[in-house]
Amino acid sequence: MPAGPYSDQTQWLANKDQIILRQLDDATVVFHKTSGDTHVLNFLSLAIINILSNDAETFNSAAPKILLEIGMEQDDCPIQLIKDTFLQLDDVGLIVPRVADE
Amino acid sequence: MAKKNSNSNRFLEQRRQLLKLGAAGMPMVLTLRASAQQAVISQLRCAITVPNSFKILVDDAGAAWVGSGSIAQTSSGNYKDKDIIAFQESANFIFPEGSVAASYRPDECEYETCDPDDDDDDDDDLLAHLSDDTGTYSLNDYLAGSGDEDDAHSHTQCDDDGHTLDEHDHSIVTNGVCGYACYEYSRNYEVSPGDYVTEGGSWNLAGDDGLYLSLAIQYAEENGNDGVWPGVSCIVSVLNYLGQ
Repeated sequence: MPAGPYSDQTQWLANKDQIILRQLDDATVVFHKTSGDTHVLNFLSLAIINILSNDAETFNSAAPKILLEIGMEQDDCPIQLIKDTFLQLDDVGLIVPRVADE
Repeated sequence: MAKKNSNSNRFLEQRRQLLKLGAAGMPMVLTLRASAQQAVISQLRCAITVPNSFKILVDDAGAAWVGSGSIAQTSSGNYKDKDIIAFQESANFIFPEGSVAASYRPDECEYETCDPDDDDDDDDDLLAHLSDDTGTYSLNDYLAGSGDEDDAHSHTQCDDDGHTLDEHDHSIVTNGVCGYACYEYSRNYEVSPGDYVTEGGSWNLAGDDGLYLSLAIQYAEENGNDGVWPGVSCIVSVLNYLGQ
């Protein structure tokens, strides 16, 4: 569940220890151990998981890396779409905001 | 080389189209909660199959006996006393009074007049027993004297209304014993408890299935999965789903 509201300073993490990924063509199936739910990710949501699993990032610091990861320009992938996808991933628990004392 | 570029362009175009759909509101994450939902649904979807035929005998006080013994009916539709007793003694499961809903209990019956001063040892009474068309008593039983279990029936006991009582305090009618209803279930009887769960998460029991399930639920609540009631694990599963 989202724990927002979030700010531009909110840092995000993806814990890859909590998920099992399987690539199926251009989609990725991910099983989330914590919730027991299975999700299908496209290349954008997968890229966000990959970037945030390396290190905690704010949205602004992660966005350029995500665009680089998917090989697209901002014209093709609007920043707002990336932000919305963050929230979708947060909603299902695949990424989590980093708490202040971490 | 041109073909490779063409494939790459097509690939990028497909991704652009997908992102456009995303910008238009299509989710970028598709969640499948199938595993969790199936687990919940399976709790309701389980079915019980009882391989052997069985009967549920219900008395007018709501007690019940579950077993596979035979119970013959007399021409008047009542049950033979000896069958009732044998069935109760060999029952696999016994439920106390009040266990069965009123709708499954037998109707009131016609009683024979009871004479508490009746002398069991006179010749007239002997002849009456020998001619008893319930077939409950034999000459040997009668002559065996007091102390024999069957002999309990040879002593006339009356209730407050002047009705003759059997040893279980059920009124005996002229032809057979009344105060009982018998529900028969054929072999490979199947029931799906989930069919009797309402959308609100409560039981809506009806018909012969309802009687079986009402007793099964009581059994499961007392014994849990450790019991030997056929299909008790299914009942427990549904009870868990209902949070009961």
